[in-house]
Amino acid sequence: MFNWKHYYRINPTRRLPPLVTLSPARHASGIVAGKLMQTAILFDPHYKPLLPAITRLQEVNAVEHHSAQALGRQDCFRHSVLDSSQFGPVPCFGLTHSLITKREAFMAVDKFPIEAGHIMMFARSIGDANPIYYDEDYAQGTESGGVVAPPTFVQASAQFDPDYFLRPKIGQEWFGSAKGPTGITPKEGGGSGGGSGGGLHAEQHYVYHKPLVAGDTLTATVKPGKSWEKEGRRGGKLMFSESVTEYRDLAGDLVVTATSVGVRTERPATS
Amino acid sequence: MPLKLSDLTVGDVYSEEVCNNLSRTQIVQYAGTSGDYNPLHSDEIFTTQIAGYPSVFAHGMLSMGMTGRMLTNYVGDGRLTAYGVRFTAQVFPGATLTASATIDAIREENGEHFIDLSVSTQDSEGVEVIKGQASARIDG
Repeated sequence: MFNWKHYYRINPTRRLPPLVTLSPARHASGIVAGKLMQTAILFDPHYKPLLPAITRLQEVNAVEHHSAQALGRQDCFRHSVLDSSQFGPVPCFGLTHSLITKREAFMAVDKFPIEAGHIMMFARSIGDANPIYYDEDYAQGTESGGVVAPPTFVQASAQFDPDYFLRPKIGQEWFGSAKGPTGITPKEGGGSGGGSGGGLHAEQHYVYHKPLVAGDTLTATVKPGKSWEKEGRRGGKLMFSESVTEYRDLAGDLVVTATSVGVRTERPATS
Repeated sequence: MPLKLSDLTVGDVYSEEVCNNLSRTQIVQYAGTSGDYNPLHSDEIFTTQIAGYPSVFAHGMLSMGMTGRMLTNYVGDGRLTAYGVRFTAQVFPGATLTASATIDAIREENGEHFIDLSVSTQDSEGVEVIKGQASARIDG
């Protein structure tokens, strides 16, 4: 069941009612409550989709026809597009970005194997030629005694999150270009464009408790953190919210704590 | 090599160029390894025609990752105890970035020594793209 109390906790500044009212019973059909919470922002009264072809009503209709998993993706698609439209900095998302509106702690990734080949490729992608990331013989002679992962490597746990929303999924439309500039099929009778606050990645913080060594296997648990508001220069009120991901090894020991700060804007930052 | 207490002074600065003329291909590499395939970082058509940006741009986490290379080169592998940033500006292809760390404090905790660093990464125009802090364990 959709829980309005959760909605208010997520959006303390918002007032009822949502512009599009659908009965909880209709929402409940085919959609699990947890996923529905993730899409509470669909009912954000300030929301306008960026893509002119998609109105919120259509989006909500689309949501009704999606499975819970696809529903998560729909939300994410909207996030991503909105993110791109305004408010220059940081349109980059971590594992927890799509999950920021969830209020309860939950397992985001139940098995994140720290693989040597993955570390090697990740190090290359950040332009780091340090042999500790690929040369086992060299690494054995160092303080860490083996190949370790670079400081931001846990971000790549997204690879092991089956629902990660910024990865194309088999058999689903992808919002990047294909035949046209976006692979999303336009809806009939589109409304106006614009765009209100989407989520942006504003900050990322890591606390390292133990070295992250190739061969480890981690789990990732996400829980909500603080939330606060600030008056922005361009985008009206800025609403910040944290989510905290705890990466633990198989012994249950904390290895890395990752805190991601997302920000939502009250109105388009560009207008 | 880990840092040694006796060699360090508050105010010391270490800096490194962490990318030169950033290529779209490197951004694609990062998408592939991180798993973040947001078209904003690799799909020029989507990014210019749908999202309305002048060009694709780097993942914030790529800038954070490249800045992290400067940190581990400075403090040694496995020595960071914390690293956090704010993303303060976008990074577009062609960017040349220099990351620097400044020692804000040197402290002792339970017999171990640590340094606190402020971290900043700037492009060739002097625009700060990353602003953050880090802490690392050093040798006594």
